[in-house]
Amino acid sequence: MGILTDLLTFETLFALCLGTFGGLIVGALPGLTATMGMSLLIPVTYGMEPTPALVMISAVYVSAVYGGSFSAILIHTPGTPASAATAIDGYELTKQGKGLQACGVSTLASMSGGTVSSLALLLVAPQLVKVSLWFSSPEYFLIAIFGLTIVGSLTGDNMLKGLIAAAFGLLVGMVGMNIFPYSRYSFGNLNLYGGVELVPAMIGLFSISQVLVQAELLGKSRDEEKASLKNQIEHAQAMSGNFWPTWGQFKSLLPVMIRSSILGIFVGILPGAGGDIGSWVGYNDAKNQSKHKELFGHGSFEGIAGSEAGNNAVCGGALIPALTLGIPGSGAAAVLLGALTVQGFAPGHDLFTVYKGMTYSLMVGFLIANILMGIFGWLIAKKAVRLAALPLGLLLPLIMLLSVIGSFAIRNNIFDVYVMLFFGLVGYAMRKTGIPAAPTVLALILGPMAERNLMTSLQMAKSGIIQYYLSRPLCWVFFILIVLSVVSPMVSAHKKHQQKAS
Amino acid sequence: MRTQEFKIDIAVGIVSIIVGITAFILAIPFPGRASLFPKLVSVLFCILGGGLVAVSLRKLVSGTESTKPVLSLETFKWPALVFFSLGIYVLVMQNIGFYVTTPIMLVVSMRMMGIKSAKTIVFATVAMMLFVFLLFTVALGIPLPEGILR
Repeated sequence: MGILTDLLTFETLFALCLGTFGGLIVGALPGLTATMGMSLLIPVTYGMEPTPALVMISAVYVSAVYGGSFSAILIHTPGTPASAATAIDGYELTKQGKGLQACGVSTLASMSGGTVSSLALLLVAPQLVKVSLWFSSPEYFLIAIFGLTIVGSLTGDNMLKGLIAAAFGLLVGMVGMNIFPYSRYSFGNLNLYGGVELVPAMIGLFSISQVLVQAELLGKSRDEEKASLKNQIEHAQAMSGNFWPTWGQFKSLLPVMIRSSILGIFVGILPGAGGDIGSWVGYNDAKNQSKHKELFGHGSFEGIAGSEAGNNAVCGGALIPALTLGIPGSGAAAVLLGALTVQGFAPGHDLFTVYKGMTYSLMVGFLIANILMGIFGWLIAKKAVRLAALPLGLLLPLIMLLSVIGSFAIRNNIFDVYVMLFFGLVGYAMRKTGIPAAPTVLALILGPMAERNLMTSLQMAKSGIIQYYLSRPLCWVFFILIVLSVVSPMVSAHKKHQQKAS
Repeated sequence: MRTQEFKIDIAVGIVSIIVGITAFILAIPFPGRASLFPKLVSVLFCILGGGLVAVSLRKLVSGTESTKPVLSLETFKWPALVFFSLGIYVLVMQNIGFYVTTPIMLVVSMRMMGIKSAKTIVFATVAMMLFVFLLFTVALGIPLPEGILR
């Protein structure tokens, strides 16, 4: 009943509805991502109670991932990277006059994936947090290192660049007096004694860098593209037909949705693997298991069901290690962890015991958001596509304004705005050089955790540190996982290289 | 043959090595165990940077063609302009004040980014300023820089 008391307040329910609706809009707008929307929302939640604040941010997360499917299906422009796979078959179906049905299948699949992963979160997280009681500093150090190695190898197309991004995040995480009573890398600047603020760094890396990427389009003459987009939007708005799938269609798509949801949960648990990987895993599995493989790429409802169930299932999966171990399963989960920290909470055992009312309200609210987004999506699907025609000249100044205020509002300190600008430039440079930003954000969170636990391990180890780690069975498990996460991408790359050569 | 990607990767690798060496040197005076993790990460930076240089050089020498689009200086013109304008706005905002500089920034940005209709610019500016005022100043009570209005 305590959980329901926290959840069923006007403030929380309003925040849930606002977050779900706002997330749909963010997702439907090509060029905006769930992570960007969430990082811009954090400063807005400062004055709110923790439960509505975190429920709103998590609602934006799931609905933005789903919202990206509208423009992917109707105008062949994925609203978010997680909808890229959906665009392949979705737009083909729109060309065949079945765009509305495709939106309906996408809605049902997203709701299924999100609901299954929410239930997994509710069931698995409390058990995993009990397992975490067996962990001590050595295990937490190795978990952090595992998180960093796997995120470096999973994100982007180059493992070395992913690991460089992670190393950069580790370096930035060491600035200030966070761990030792000695200010490191602060160059005498008082503003850096407490370290680099996470939220302005995230706003810079995700929002400002995206503004700069979108700004590249300003110099191009896009009259033909705009005219074509206008035609596509008009065509989409004129569509008619049934939205929701028939009972027969639902039964035929159910196995796809269940499989992709389960796969998506596992993808989400892996640090750094976000909705984009989840959607491709779901899509590929749907294609491999399909009796109508020839339809894939030419308008397959199974393809849409697989990719959308997969990408939404990642959301709940990513929160499992985030809330229990402090290891975000995706960039967006890292932003949610940042929001948790801003509200004064730390992931782990206390979240499920001392603050269980807030935590369970968050998880149940997350579940409700997955259902609510389907209802809102049904109501606004055709209209939401109009947002794709919003001129950059209106969108970019608004994002710039919110980024500046959001960064300033954390400590009422203009220095944080400079931090935001710096990371915006770094984030843009990273995007142009193919270096992923997600490992940097994860390292900003995991780095201090890794160092703190390494130092504690050094104090706990009476004999050598290596012998101490090797004497703990759980550490062996993590050693093996770390080696596998580093070696397996290299082995796959070598095999691919050999196949190409032969 | 397109090889710009590999040359950029070599540059990234060299920058990583430089950053690693610099971070290591700066970590030397840190007392006791405070220098351990920084030194480990610095060495990691150098190793990863070296690895990237080696892999990219091998691709360059072997004649592999890059699949990434070629970047030109023209690509960066608008991002540079937007970033520069944002920087000027932040610098000026502290001294002149948020509520004076922000409407100017919005009008100039929208005009620069291709919004031609004066009605749209005025309406959007008023709407955005009202939104910010109601949310951040009234609802959240965040004191935005006052500047000359102080």
